[in-house]
Amino acid sequence: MPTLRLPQSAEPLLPFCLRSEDAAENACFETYADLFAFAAACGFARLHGRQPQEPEKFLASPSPIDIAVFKNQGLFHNLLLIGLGSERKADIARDEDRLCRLVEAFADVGCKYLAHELQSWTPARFHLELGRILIAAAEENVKVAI
Amino acid sequence: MIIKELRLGNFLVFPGEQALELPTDGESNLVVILAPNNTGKTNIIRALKFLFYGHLPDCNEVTAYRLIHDGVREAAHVGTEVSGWVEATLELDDEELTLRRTVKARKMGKDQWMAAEITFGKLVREPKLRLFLDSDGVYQTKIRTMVPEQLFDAFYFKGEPLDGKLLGGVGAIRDSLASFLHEDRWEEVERAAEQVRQRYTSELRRLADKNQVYTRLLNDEELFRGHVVKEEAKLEKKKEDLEDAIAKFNELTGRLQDLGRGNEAEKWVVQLRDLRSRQETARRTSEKADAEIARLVGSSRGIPFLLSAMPAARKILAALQEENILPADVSERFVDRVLAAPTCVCGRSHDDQTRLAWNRYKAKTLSLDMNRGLSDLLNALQDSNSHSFSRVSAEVARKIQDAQARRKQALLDLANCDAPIQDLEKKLKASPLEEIRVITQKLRETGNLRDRLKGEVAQLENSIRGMRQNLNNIKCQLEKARPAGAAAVKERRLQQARARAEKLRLLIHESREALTRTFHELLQQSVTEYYDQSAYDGSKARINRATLLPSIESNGQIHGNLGGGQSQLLALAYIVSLSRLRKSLHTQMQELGIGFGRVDDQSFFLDSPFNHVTEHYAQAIARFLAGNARQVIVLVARQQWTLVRTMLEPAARKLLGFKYHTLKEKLKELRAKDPKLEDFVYDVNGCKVSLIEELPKSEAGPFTTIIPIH
Repeated sequence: MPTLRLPQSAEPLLPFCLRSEDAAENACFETYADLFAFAAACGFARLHGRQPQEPEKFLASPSPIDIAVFKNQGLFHNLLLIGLGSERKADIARDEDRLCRLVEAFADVGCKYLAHELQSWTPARFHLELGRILIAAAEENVKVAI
Repeated sequence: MIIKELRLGNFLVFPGEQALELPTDGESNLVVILAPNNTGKTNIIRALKFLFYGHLPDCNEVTAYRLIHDGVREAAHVGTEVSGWVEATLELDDEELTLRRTVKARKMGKDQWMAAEITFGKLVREPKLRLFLDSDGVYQTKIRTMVPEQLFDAFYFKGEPLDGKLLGGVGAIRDSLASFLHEDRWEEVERAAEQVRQRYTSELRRLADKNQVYTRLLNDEELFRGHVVKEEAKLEKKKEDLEDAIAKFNELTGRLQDLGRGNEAEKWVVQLRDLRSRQETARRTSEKADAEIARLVGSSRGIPFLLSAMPAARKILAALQEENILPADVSERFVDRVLAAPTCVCGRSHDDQTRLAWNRYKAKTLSLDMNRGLSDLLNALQDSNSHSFSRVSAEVARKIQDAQARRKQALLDLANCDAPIQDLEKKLKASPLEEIRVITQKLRETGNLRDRLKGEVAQLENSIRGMRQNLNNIKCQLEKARPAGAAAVKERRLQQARARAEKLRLLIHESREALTRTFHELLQQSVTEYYDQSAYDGSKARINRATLLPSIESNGQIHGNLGGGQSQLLALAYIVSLSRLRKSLHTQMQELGIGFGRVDDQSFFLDSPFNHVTEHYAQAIARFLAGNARQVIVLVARQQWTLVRTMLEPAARKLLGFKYHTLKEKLKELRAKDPKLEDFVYDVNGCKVSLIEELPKSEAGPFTTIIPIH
C-alpha cells in the first residue's frame, strides 16, 4: 500500500496539528493527513496545477501516512482531484504511487509557502490568515466562474 | 501697635532722611510698597527690629556701625562720628509717641570703627527737636508689651514662609502665648492660694496636737483631698479629650454625610461592572470566533484551493463515464473472470475479436478503491450535490467570513470598553469612595476612642464621687472630734479660713481654665472664619487645645505643612486673630482692674508674603490682607505683583515704591540679563513705573529711596 510522506518543509506547521505534542492554541488540523491534504491543495493553487518538483527531504516523524488513512478520512478524492487537475489525464488514477509522489510534491510547495508566510504572520494569527487566504481562493474561483 | 510714620536716617540702604507715612484712620489701612528684589525690603523689617529691641541677630556692638548707610560711612573722615537712626511715630489712644533708636560710631581708619553707641528714647519735635533718653526703660517695656520679641517675626516677617514659624509647635510662639495669657501668674496665684490653705491646715494640726483622733482625721482628709485634686485634674484632661473626640466624631459623620449626598460613585461602580461584563462577553465571543475559524480552516481540507482543478477533472471523469469505466460497474477482476470462462456473458463462445475487445477494455478499468475514489470525486464535482466541492468551498468561505465579522465586532467592543473603563477607574480612584473608606475607618477609631474615654470619665467621676463621700465622712468625724473649749473657737475660725482659701484656689483654677478655653474657642472661630472659606481643597484650620497653635486638617488628618499656600494663609489668619485676641484680652483685663499693660491694634509688615504660593492662595492672601487688619504694610517683589495686582491695587490706601539707584556698570550688567529691566518695572493703574535709576554722579555707592506712587 503506498504511503504519503510529509515533506521537511512541513516541520514549522506541525504545531498547528492537534495531534502534535506541542499543539498551538489555534491548531486547525485534526490529523497530519488533514494538514497534508490542505498543504497539497494550497501548493496546487500556488502552481496553478503545474507540475511541481519532487521534494528532496521528508520528515521521519510523523511517519509516512498510509494512503488508506486518506481513503478512510474521505480525503482520497481530494488527492485525486489534485492528480487529475495537474495531469489532465485519467492515467494518474491508475497509478496510486505516482499519484502519491505528485501529491507529496504539491504538499511540499504548499508547506513551503505556508511556512514562509508564517514568518510574517504571528503564530497566534495563523488560523486567521489561513481563513483569509481560503476566502480569497474561494472568491477567486467565484470570479473565474463569473 | 499702629505706626503712623516710620523715618529712617542714613540707615542701611536708605541715605539721608526718608519717611514712610502710613495711613491709620481707616478700618483697614493697607499700604503696598513695590520693592524689586535687592532694593531693601528686608532692611525695613531689620530697621523695625532694631528700633524695637536695639539689636539684630547678625549685629553686635562692634559691628553695629554697619547699620549706618554705606555712603555716609565712606564719606566720613577718620576721627569723625557718624550716625544712623530709625524712628517711629506710634499711635497710642489719642496720643502719639515718637521713639527713635540711634547708632553712632567713630571712624578710626578705613573700615575701622570704634564700638558703636546705641541710644533709645522719646523724640519730641515741637517746639524743637529733643530726645529724651529712655534711661528707666519705660518705653522699652512699653514696646516689649505691645510686641513681645517672640512675636516680632510673626508680625513683621521677611520673605520665608511663615508656616515654619507657626506650624509644628515652635517654642517661641507657644512661649509668647503663655506669656500673654500670663500662665505663669495664674499658676503662681493658684499655688499661693494652696499654700495659704496648707498653712491653715498646719495651724489646725498644731492646735489639735494632743487630740490624736482629730490629727489622724485631719491627715486622712488631706490625703483624700490630695487624691481628689489629682483625680479631678485627670478628669479635666479626660473630659477635654472626650470633647475633642466627640467633636471629631461629629465632624467626620458630617463629612461622611456630605460625601454620601449626591454621590455618583455608586452609579460609576454599576457602569464599571456593566462595562467589564461587556468586555468579558466580547472576549469570550472573540475566542469562540477564533476557535471556529481554526476549525473551519481545518475542515475545509483546502477545497477552495482546488476549485480551479474541477473543470479538467470533470472532463476526464466524463470521458471515463463515456467509456463505461466509471462508475465501476465492470471491474478489472470481472473482465478477468469473463476471459477465463469458456463463453462470454452473452452465451457465445469467445473469439479473437471478442477477446481483444475485452482486453482493451480491461486496460482501461480501475481498481476498486480508485473506482470508489473517482466516484466520490464525481459526486463532489456535481454542483447540484449538497456536498459538492463548490458548495463546500462557498460554505466554508461564508462561515469563515461570518466568524471573522463576529470576531472583529467583539474586538471592537473590547477596545471600546477600554477607554470608558479607564475613565471610570480614574474617576472612582479620585472619587469620594476612597475618602469614604478612610473616613469610615477614622470614624470607627474615633468612635472607639470616644466610647473608651466616656468609660474612663464615668469611672473617674465615680471614683471622685466615692472619695468625696469619704471626705464628707471624714469631715463629719472631724466635726465630732473637734477640740473643746477655747480651742474650739480657734479651730472653727481656722477651718473657715481654710475653706475660703480652698474656694479661692478653685476659683483661680476654674478662671484660668475658662480663659484658656475661651481663648481657644475665639482663636478657633477667628481662624476658621479667615481660613476655611479660602481653602478650596476642603481643608480646615484647627487650633490645638493644649498648645493653642494652628494646624491644617484635611480628611481627618492633621498636616504640618500642606504647601502651595494653605499654610501661609493659615499662618497669616492665625497671627491676625492672635493680635486681635491679645488686644481684646488686655482690654477686658484692664476693665477688670488687672492691668498687664496696654495692647492696641497690631500693625503688620509683611515682606513678600506671596513667595512660594500658588496663584489661588496668593489671591486669597491678598484678599485677606486687604480687609482683615487695621494696618498692613506689604512689600511686593515684581514677580508677585503680577499675581496680586488686581486684588491689592484697588484695596491699597497708599502705594509706595523703593527706587533703586545703582552704578552705570551694574545697570549694564542687569541689562545684559534683562534688556528692558522688567524686574524693576511695575504695571500700576495701567502705567509702567520704573523703579531703577542710574546713580547720580555725586554718589559713590547704590542706595534706595522711598517714593510715592499714588
